[in-house]
Amino acid sequence: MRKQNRVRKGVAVLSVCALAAGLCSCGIDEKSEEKKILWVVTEKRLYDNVNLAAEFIEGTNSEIQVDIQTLAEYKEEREPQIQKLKTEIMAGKGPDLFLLDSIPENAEREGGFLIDNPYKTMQSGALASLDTFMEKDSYWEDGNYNKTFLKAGQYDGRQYIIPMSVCYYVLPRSEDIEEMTGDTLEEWLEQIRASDDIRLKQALYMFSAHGARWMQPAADYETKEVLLDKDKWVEFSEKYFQFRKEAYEEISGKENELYFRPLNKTLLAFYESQIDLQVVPDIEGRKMASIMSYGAVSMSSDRKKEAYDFLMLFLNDRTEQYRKKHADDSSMGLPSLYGYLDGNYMPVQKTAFEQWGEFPSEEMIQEMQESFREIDGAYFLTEGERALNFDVMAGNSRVTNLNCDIETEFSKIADTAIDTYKMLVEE
Amino acid sequence: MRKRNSGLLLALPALAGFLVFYFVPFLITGWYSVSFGIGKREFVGMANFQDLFENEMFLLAVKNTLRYMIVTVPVTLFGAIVLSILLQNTVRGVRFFQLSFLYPMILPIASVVLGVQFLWGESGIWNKVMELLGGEAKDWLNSSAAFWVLCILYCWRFTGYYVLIYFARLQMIPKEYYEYAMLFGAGKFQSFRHITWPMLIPTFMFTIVLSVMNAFKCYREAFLLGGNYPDDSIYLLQHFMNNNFQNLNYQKISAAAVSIVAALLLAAGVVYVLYLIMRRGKKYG
Repeated sequence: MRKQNRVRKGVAVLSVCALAAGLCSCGIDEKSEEKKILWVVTEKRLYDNVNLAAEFIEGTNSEIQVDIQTLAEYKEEREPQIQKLKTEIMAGKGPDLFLLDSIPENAEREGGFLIDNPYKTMQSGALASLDTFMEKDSYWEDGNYNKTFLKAGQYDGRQYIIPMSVCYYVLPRSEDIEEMTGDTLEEWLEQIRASDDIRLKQALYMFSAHGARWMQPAADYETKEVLLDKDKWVEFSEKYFQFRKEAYEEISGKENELYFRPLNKTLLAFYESQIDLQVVPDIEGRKMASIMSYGAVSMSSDRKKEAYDFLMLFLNDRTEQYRKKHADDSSMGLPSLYGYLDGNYMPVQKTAFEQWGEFPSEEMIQEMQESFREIDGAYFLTEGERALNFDVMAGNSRVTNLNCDIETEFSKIADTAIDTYKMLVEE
Repeated sequence: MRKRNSGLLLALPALAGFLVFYFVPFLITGWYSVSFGIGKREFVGMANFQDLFENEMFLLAVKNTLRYMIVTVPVTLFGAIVLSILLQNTVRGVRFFQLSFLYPMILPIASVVLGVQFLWGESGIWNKVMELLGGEAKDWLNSSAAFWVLCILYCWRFTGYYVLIYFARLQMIPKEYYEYAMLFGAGKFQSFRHITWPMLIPTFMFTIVLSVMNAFKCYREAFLLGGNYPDDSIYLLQHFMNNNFQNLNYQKISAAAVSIVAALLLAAGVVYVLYLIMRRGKKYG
């Protein structure tokens, strides 16, 4: 009896010890203590530049090792990878630095985003405020960065996200094309409607896939307000789809020569010079850019300063300065970064245009800089924009193919969009 | 005495699992619900709960989930009791009916939702019939009707499952009880009230718990019908939790989880106290 009791007690003590050991081991950091490991999560599209920055950091600071994790491109791999990362972030053991993009193609591939809605994530406490580092950083004093983009990455007066590349639409106009004189998209529509130039009609005709750009910003996540004005949006939709119906006969069967294009590398490949880039405004006359890639430091990171310095390599001229300073020694082998992270979409500072565009003509650089100055602000693409774009395309198909009433269709679409935005801001 | 100790020992792996995988994470969730940030968390008291109860989407999700349970749980269980009694009185084809009750549970939910869209989608059969009758077609799945579609889907999927549980219990009631009752002139209703129902009560309580748990698990159906941001009427607690998880807002999910558990514990406590009062009342006549 006594022996049995002792066995029972032994088993109980062993179980408790095993449990305690298991729980304790959860907190043990298995990372090497010799080097500071900076864990960077990025997209495959941005990998090359991130890798160059990692080479530079490791080459200049022997104490730092950069681990780059690339998010998979396809749903089967990407989805579980993102879920795992989210769980790790929740446990406070996530990456130090996020260098991510929010291009719609990722949503279309259905793998989703690691940061689904940057506005909401800023409110969640998952990202570190960068103000302390930015205040001490002379980079922010010289005015190189287009400051209007920074606002999108702020919450409660603090900077959490730094936009790294943007996208806005322009009308690449050669001299023989009429200049757009209106301030709003509606005024452009009226002008093009009255114009005889079929190329302009073709350009506007093809702009139907960008319904979410017609009015931006559509929501304010800080004040929890939906800014999408249903009446104005529906009124414009009616006029626009009426225009499409009228223009269809005129343009069908003719080769498209002109488009409203996003200002990116592809555009630069098409037009070398003698082109005027007119930024396409929205219904209210604002010229807004959508953020295509951004950087943010994790709140749980123990290496916030190092992560911030890494992020800033894509903006400041540190690598260039280093190269000049060590022109004679072996460190020449370290890579240079030229002020941009994203090789495809517009950089956020005008000094990067030359290298980013692979040395476009002086004229083109000037045009890009001019268009850049005109931009009023930037916004992140969220579920609201993605759903609205999809609904507008579906509505377009119903109006065109099934002859549905334009006002009823787009009124419904606007209602759905407003409901979605309401959920997004309130949630 | 020895028997009880052995039982504890046998239950130890399960208890340890519960401690490690449920209880400890719940304690962590409790800490998350009163703190802010990730990694280095800062104690914020009840601020997360205050935010949560001021959050319109959370309140909408609670309202919809409760409404959903109030509709589906009684309808499903009542339907299951009626069907199981009918099945008990069926002489031929019992095995066929038993199997057919299981089919809705076997079918993959994605194909079921496809079927629902075929019926109630914008270009579905229901709208075609409405148009033929001169009515107006409507996007049922993106309107308040989506709630009723979701309820129908739940009832259709789970009623059969509960029928089988009740049927198994009914088979265990000795036939002699009914024969004695008939001898003493009891009708069918009286037999049900005084024999079947009292014998079914423990199973009924068990199915209530199962049914409530299943009602919490209806996210897949709601998601496939309307995505992450569906019509207001089918925005459930799982949408709120899932969307906030996607946005890495763990304090909000934690506060919501703690609130739900607290509400469930409170409800269970109230039921238990009522049960004790009733028992004491019976004891003292």
